Amino acid sequence: MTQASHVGPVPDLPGNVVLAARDVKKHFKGRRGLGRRHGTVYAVDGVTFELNEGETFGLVGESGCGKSTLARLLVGLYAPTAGTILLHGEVVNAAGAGQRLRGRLQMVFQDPAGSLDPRRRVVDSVAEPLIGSRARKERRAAAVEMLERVGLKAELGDRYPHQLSGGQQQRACIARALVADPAIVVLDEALSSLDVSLQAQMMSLLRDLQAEFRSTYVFITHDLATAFELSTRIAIMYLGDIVELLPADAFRQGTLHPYSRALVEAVLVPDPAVQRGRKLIQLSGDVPSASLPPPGCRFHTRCPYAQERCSHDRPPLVQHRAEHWVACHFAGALPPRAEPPTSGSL
Amino acid sequence: MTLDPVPVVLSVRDLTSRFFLPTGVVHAVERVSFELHAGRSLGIVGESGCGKTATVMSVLRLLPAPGRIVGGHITFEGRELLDLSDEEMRRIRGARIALIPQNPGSALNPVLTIGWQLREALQAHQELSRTEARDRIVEVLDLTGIPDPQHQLDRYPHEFSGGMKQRILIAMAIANHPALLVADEPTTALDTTMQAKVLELMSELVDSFEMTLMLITHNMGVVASVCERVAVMYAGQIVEMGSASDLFRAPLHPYSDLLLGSTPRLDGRRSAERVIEGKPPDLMMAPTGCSFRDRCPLAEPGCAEPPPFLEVVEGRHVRCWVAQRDTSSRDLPRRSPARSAAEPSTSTDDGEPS
Repeated sequence: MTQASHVGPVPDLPGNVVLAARDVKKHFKGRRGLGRRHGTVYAVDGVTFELNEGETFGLVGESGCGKSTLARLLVGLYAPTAGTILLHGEVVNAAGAGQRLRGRLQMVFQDPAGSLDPRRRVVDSVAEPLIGSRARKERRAAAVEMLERVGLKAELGDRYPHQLSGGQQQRACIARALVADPAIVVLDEALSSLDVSLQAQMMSLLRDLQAEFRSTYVFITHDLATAFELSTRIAIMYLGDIVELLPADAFRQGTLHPYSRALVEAVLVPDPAVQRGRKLIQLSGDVPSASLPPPGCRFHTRCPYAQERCSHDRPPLVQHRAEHWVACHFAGALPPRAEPPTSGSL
Repeated sequence: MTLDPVPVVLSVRDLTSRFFLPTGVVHAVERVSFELHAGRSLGIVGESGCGKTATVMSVLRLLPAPGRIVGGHITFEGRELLDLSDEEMRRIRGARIALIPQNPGSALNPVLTIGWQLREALQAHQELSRTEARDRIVEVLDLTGIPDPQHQLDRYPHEFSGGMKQRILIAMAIANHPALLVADEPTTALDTTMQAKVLELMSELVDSFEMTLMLITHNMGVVASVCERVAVMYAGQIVEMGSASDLFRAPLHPYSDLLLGSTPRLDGRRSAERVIEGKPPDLMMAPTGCSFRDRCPLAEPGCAEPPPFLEVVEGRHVRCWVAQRDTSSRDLPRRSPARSAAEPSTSTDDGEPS
């Protein structure tokens, strides 16, 4: 594990690897703007992981960490600047792969209203991923069946998107994503705009569908608590890097990266008894710009534990426990609790 | 309770607001009553469309057309707000009652410097010279944790991050030392780590300025960290109200219970099995009976009658027949006979727990 960017965290799970991302980078070239030169944005900068069949891979991070760029890379909407993404051994972004892989990689977006064609009946949008593989009548039948599976009656399928509620629209988007029996469904903040009760309904629906179809989910969110609820493994991203990757079950034993800890600390617990008098880790400043990422460890400018070494030596993603990978020079050596020594208890 | 020595700052009684659309009438706020004592904090929680924002906008008398307040009383610092002229109301808004809006991105004018906007907020309510205003602005910006405030005044909103913009808006809200601070989803647009910081800042400022806080949110975690009292809204009505510690430990209304149960949390309990089926009722229909009964696991035939909003345990109100019956038979702390005798039975009193 000397060079994390080339040796990936390969899960020991007995499952089949569906997708493998190897040292994937996506840089957006700078452009000459109005009198000002914009530098290259290092949106995703060397990410490596594998997805097993039937798992839910939670990808968590704050705005600007590159999680949505990574989502688009995974489904082939962006071509990586460097590195490869393999779906069942086939390069996702190879020329002409788009046609072949259509339907194998699906995505559900945050805004369901904006991702359904307003001028088409819902059932037609849901049937679309089947174009090219099935006859017209079969497509419609499959779409109606899938709509029913996600809890939308056939008559709702004949309506237009604006005639459905937000929750119903999101159900339709999930139906569209699943109708062509995809290898991977990327859920990009798919539950973030929904109310708590709807979120809970959707999570239980997604779980049921996964059990039935053995789909593999990539669940992208800024909300650690929902990721924890739904995921089997969780990857935490910061400025284009995965800084920690661990099974959701290992969460309780604690995260090891200082950023993950700050993130966990910042999650508000719906319980005043826990929440009162709780002192937060103060991360200094804002997230640095992705066009000027700090040298060394990306997090060292805000890290309460940063040492001299962190400012020039970029830590690789290294396995610390079973299935638990961390990119921090001092991961095992930090104080056991998340708080700096002066603050109160959790 | 009535025994609370702290004076009441805001008292809302039977507030009813409706939206008169061409297609029908939306019953957005239905007979909402609560009181806020000086220096205390009340969180109003609920899901989208439950009427929490409409309630707050009614209190500020900023309900946009075709919305209208159709009944009730809003008493603030002893004055009936619904009787005031627009001009009188303008003098209260921003000076005595301040609002922290939901979206920091769109709440600031993009073509004016933040110094200009803060000065405008100050001079609208106080006679201040340019230098006095400037000193005051630097002071409040410093309080909200804007680094190097004197050099930020000539910058424009887009030069600040979302968290910084929200701090600027908080500074603007507290600049005139308001008695009541109203925060409408103040951290919803922010990242997790920034949310925690902004909430901490808000709590500190509310304490040190002895402001009264009314906070609107859909996030149970936000309420739990900031508010002493909680009102849970559903379909335009407050269905349960009580101290945060009581309500979160043992919610009385089935809706509050399910809402808490379906909130994802990191501290172990992975209980997503508790799902509220169905969707909220159509507010175009006038409410009949309990508005939650179609989705309620405890619903019984009697729920077709509208339940009253009663104080079942000291300081705890609930609008549910089942909870009212069960609580009276359960071994919960009762009101002492002496006190309940001293209270009129119609009281919707909203006391603080000791």
